[in-house]
Amino acid sequence: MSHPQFQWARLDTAAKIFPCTSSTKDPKVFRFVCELKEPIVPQALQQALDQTIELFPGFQTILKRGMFWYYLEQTNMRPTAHEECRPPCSVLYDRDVHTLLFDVTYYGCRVNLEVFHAISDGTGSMHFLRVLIFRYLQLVHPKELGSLPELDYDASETQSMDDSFERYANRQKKPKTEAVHRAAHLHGNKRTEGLNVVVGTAPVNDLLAYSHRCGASMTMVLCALIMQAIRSQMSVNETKKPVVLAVPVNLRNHFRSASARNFFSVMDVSYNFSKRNGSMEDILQELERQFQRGLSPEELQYRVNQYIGLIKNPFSRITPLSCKDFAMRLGYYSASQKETSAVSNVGVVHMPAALAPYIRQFAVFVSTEKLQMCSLSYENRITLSFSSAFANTDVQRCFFRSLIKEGIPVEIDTNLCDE
Amino acid sequence: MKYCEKCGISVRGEREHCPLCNAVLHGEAEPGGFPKLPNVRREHRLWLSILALSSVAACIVCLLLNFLFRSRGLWSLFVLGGVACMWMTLGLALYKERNIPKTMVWEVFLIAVLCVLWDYFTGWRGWSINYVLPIVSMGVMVVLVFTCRLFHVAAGSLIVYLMVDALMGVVQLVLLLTGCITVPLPSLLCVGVSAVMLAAMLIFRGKKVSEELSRRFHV
Repeated sequence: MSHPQFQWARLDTAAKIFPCTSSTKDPKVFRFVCELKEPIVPQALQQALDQTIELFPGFQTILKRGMFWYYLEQTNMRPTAHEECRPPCSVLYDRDVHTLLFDVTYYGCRVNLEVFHAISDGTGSMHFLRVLIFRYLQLVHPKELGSLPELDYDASETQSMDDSFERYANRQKKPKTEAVHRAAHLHGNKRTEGLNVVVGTAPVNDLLAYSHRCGASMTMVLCALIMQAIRSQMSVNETKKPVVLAVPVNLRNHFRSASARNFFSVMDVSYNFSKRNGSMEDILQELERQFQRGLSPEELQYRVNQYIGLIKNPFSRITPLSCKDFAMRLGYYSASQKETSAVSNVGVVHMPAALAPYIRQFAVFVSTEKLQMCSLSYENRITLSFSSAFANTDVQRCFFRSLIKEGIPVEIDTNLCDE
Repeated sequence: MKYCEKCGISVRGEREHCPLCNAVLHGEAEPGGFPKLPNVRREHRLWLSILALSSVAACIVCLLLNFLFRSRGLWSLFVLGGVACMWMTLGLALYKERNIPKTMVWEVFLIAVLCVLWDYFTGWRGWSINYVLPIVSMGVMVVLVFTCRLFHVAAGSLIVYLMVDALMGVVQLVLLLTGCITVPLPSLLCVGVSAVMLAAMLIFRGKKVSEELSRRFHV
């Protein structure tokens, strides 16, 4: 198979940070999971994968180092669906060995899609998994599902390979924002190997009802609950600093784009427990204000422009890659000092109604050096997945217990082993 | 599904204790979504440690002996230098172990630089640039072409490695013209082979070469 228009491509604007900051501790890999109600048939999965990859040229690439920039090169390597054999979100990009930057594995009833962030963000990868599952179920149940129309994703090759940052960038000035100098941090023993993943599943209806009672959106309620959970684990000294959550914003909701590559940005929301009373109402009020500001048109435009200036700068362009790597790592480190944790709500997964009887739930989580929560809902099940570099699960316990206290039943799955 | 009475949470998998509060779980187990993986701690590199210890020990013994027999000059420095060079080349090979052609190109560079340094600090006799440089870079060219057949390295990468190697050929030409090289035969041969190799690449794979360069050097 060949994609006539695409032999190599620059990394998109947001992706430029990922190759140089990827490490064994935080390989910048995220995993989407689809759990079916029946065990996976490996041959059918492989066949579905072969069909799906045709639609996503950006996925059949390897990452190479040039003199000035990393770039993606089209390759003939074929992905193979294999049984899960490594810890979740293991390294996919190795600068010395060229391999595909995504991996499809299965275990029991689950299909896992792991993706290196440089080739795609959550939305792009979710499309990939949706198409994969759709094709797979069609192959396994040809009688019932064979006549279904194609999925709604119909971006052309050029559209799906689009760097939408370049498309929408302009020269608008940076709006005034409140600067955070140092955020509170979680402390504790880190795990020596692999991530600590706790996936909680809850009914969407109950969670929505609770958000309505609070008079806020679900994302805000989840953020508030996590802030409170983090607060309960902080030392007295740390409470002086604000708790800052990084919240990824899907820019496709605000700018028209069908790109399967990265098109997102990160907004920070903060709350200082030492200066305010820390009640649910007060946190939500503060979050409401910050979300509104963060999602205002000027602020969003600024997010699109954020890196473009740096990347278009003639001096930074002709700096050799190894120097740029160093500078980007430094910048990344200083930015990460200003964040306590991250919460990303990937949203709702839509699948054709005919597939619903076969699918139990979807989930997503991401590699991190701190603690991060990702949520995703399908039908009436929302999965709230914590991935953490820490060995303890105290924040997770506080968070889930606060849901239970509100009468929301939670079911948990984890990769942690009994001692 | 198992149930934790303290947290009020259902837990999947066959665990005995609650992953959140470590309380004992009750109820029937339901299969979980994560496989039980063997604890893959990186295998301890015992041989490397043995080598490290013995080289450190050798250095210490030599330094002590040198101190005892001071009249013979500072010969222990040679031992220290040799051990340092060995670890540099070995370290590079281990660090880059997964990409053999790349490792080779880097090793050649390192070895060339180390040889020139040795030559310089042992009273510049010119053996490094007269013999080592040309022979090593010619050897690598031949080996590269074979390894790429053996390890199925993509043509694009091969082009870049050969380019780097050819660059060493150019350096030798400069040394020849400025008269630094006193035994010209090996260098002449090497420059010739490099030039032919470059020409062959341009003639047979000219388009590939220009494509690869435009990728590698895009700003």
